[in-house]
Order: sequence, then structure tokens, then C-alpha cells
Amino acid sequence: MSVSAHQPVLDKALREPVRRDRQDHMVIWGGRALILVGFLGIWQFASGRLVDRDFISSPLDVARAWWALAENGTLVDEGLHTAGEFVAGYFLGAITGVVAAVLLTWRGFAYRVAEPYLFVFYSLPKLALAPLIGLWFGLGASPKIVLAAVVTCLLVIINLVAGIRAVKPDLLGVMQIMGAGKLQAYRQLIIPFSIPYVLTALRFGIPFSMIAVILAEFIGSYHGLGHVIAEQAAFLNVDTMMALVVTLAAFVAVFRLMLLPLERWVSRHHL
Amino acid sequence: MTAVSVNRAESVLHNALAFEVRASKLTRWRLQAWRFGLLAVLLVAWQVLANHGLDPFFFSSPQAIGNALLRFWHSGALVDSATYTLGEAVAGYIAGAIFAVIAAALLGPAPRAYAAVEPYILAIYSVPSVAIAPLFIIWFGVGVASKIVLAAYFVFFVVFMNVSAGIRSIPQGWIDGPRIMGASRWQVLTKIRFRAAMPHFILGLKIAVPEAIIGAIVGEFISSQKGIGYLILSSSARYDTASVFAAIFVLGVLVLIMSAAVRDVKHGARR
Repeated sequence: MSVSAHQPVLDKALREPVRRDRQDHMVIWGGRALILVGFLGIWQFASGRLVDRDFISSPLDVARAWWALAENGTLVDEGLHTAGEFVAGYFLGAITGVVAAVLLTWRGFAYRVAEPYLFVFYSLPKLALAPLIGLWFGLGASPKIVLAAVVTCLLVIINLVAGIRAVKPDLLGVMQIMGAGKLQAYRQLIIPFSIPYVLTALRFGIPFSMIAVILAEFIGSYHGLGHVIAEQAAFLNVDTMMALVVTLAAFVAVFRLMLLPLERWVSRHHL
Repeated sequence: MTAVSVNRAESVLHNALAFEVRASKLTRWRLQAWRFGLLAVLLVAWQVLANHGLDPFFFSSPQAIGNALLRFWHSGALVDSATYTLGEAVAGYIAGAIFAVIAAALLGPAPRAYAAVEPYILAIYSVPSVAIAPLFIIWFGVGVASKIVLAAYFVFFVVFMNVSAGIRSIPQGWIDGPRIMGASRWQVLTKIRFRAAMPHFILGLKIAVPEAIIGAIVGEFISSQKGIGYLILSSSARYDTASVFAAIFVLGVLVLIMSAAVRDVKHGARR
């Protein structure tokens, strides 16, 4: 009797949070749409009326410029150069970073000797090396690859070293007592344990090495989207520059999405 | 078999205990000696190689770099460029941090507004910051302004991400309780949210130091007539490798000075 009397109230109370969640969802998505439309609308309106069109371009002009770049093949040709340099530098940096971190931590004392140098070098603005690396490697793809690799490599080293040093000494001690050698300890305990740290480095490495590639292209190159941006800047061609900036942002976003399955796999299988 | 492994365990234990005892004084001395030794060996090796075989045109030598530094010092270029770049970086750093705190204060306490804006912030965040630099030069000129804006832009995201994460990570109870007891929204913001977000804010400020310098340097790389970035780029255009190294060295010192200054301010804030 009393249970059935309370049932509707209970039902309503249980449904309430769901309803509110749905409402929140609608408000948030509505807000997002409003921001996008409002921003593009104001930009389109202000361009040529409130601010000189040459400076801020307009959404329609950017879209038109992007389409023109896509049609004449610039986007694909130069984009492949930039993407190739990025991928090569990123992987080269990641691999050398892992190897260097393992070698550095192989002997604790050696690591402690190297530590201050490592951190000073890490906190220096590596991008400032771009002209020097250009001097050494010329104007082709190699200086871009090297700069991206340096940036990624240091990120991986710093993170992986932090991961390796976070391994519980107890676990290491147990392995040692049971007769495991160094190689085995690294293979079965240390490296698996520090995979999430490497993953963090890889996630941050994507925008950083893309920035490195683009800066190197600015400073001296024949190809690549960064090269085209620098070229168009000389003509104050803001439409095309913005179209290229959007393209590069999409590049970064796509590479980030490609890392997601790996992250999900690790978070499912790790510890 | 068992005897061997027990022996091994014993020796591991013995080593560990012996290490504890020895670790204190001797190791610290040995560590410092090794650190300075490593640096000295590297510098001497570089100098020797530069004198015999290694092409000084590309790799310079410690002696030539020292001479270049002295030359910069005597001509006044060192102090001029350093103060110029440091001024840009500091101005951008402060502006970026202030805007970041304001934005976080507006968006942090409003979860739905934050959720609505978040994808756009992430989208802008994945734009390779260097790629927009030429646009900033077009908008704000080749002078100091564009570098300050660029440095502020680099700093903004780092600080904003950290502060808003701090503001949002506060347990709801910390806010509801004081609100029930009659605290105004402003009081909650200043007395609770900001206080609780302080560690995140300080972390963001710390990470943002190199970002500010990178922003200034990248702006100078793309277009400028003064500053350390200009010094690096113009020296590399003249194939004056020693001057490039010298300028990069000065840049490193600048970063260390700025980091140390932020650390001091931080300790002051703690007290």
C-alpha cells in the first residue's frame, strides 16, 4: 500500500537527474553552436565594414582560398612534405628518446651526473636552434626532421626518465633477489611500468614537433605548408595564410586522434 | 641452486646497506666532480677537435664562442639584445598570465559555459602557435608589439589550462557550504576558488617561462631588427657559427634568470 503510493515520487526522483543531464546537454550544444555561428557572423560582418578586409580576411574568403589551394594541388603537394617531415621527425625523436632514457638510467650514478645538463637543455628553447640546424643540414627536409626529432626526443627522455625513476624500489629489489638481470628488469618491469609516461610525452610531442617543422620551414625551405605561409605573408595574403593555419590545426587534430586507440589500449591493459 | 640465490640475495642486501652508509658525503663529492669533469672533457674535446679536423666553419669552437661573447659584450649588442628580448618576453608573460586568470575566473565557476567553450579552446590550442606568428606580424607590425602579443599568446594557454583545471577541481562542498552561510560569488571566487587553484597557477607560471621566451624569439625570427632572435638569425645568415652559439648561450642564460625570478616570486607568495 505505502510502497505503491511512493512509487510515482520515487520514479520521478530517479528520472530527474537524467532529465537535467539531457537539459544540460542541450544548453551546452546550443551554446557551442551559438558561439560558432556568432563568431563567424561577426567576423564576416566586421570584415570590410569595421576592420580593413586585408587584415582580417573573412570566413567566406578563407573558405574560398582553401578551396583554391585544394584545387590547384598546393594543399596535397606541400601538405605531404610537411606531414612527411613531421612523421619522420616525430618517430625518430620518439625512438632515440626511449633508447637514450634507457641508456641514461642504466646506471643510477651516470644518470645523476647527467641530470642537471639534461634539465638545463630541456628547459632551453629548442626552437632557437632552428637557424643553427638549418646551417648544418641545409634547406631540404633533413633540418625539419632533425629539429622535430630533437624536440620530441627531449620530451620523451624527460618523461620516460621520470617514469623509470617512479618504479617502486621494492619491486626492483624483489626482481633482483629472484635473480633477474638488468635487461630482464627493464623488459619485464621498468619499461611496462613507464609506458603511460611515454604516452604523455607522445601526446604533447605532436603539437611540439609540428611547431618545430613549421618554424624550420619558415626559416629556410623550398616546400611545405610553413613555406607557403611565409611566402604568402610577404604578399600580405591573409586569406591563404588563414586557410593554411586551419589546415595545420586539422593536421594536429588528426594526428592526435590517431594516438587515441593506443591510449585506450594502454589504459585498458595497464596495471 | 638455492644456495646460490640466497648468496646473491645476501650480496644485494649487503650492497644496499653499504651504499646507504657511503651514500652521504663521498657520493656527493664524487657526483659534483663527475659533473664538472664531464663538462670540462666535452669542452676540451670540442676545442681539440675544432683545432684538428672538425670544420670550425660549421661547428665553431668554445674559444671562438667565448670571443664572440666578448665581442657582443664590448659592442653593447649583448646587453641591448638581451634587454630587448627579455622586455618582450616579460611583458608578454605578464599580459598572457593576467588574461588567462581573467578567462579562467569567468569560465571556471560556470561548468556549462566552460563545457560550451572547451572544444573551441582545444581547437585553438591545436593550432601550431608558430603558424599564426606571421599573421600577428601583419596585424601588430614588425616592432615590439607583435612579439609581446605572440609571447602572451604562448603563455595564455598554458596558464589558462592550469588555472581553470584548478578552479574546476574544487569539491562542490567547499563552495556550497560558504554560499549557504551567506558568502557572495565574489567572495567564493577570491577566497576559495583562487586560493585552491594557487598550486595549479604556480605550476602554470613555471611552465610558461620558456613559452614566453619562445614567443618572443619566434616573433624575432620571422621579422625583426633587434633582439636575441634577430642576433641568432642574422649571424646564421652570415654563416658566423660562433656568434650563433654565443647568442643561443645568452638565450639560455635569459631563460634560467627568468625561471629563477619566477621561483623567487613564488617563494615570496608562499610566505
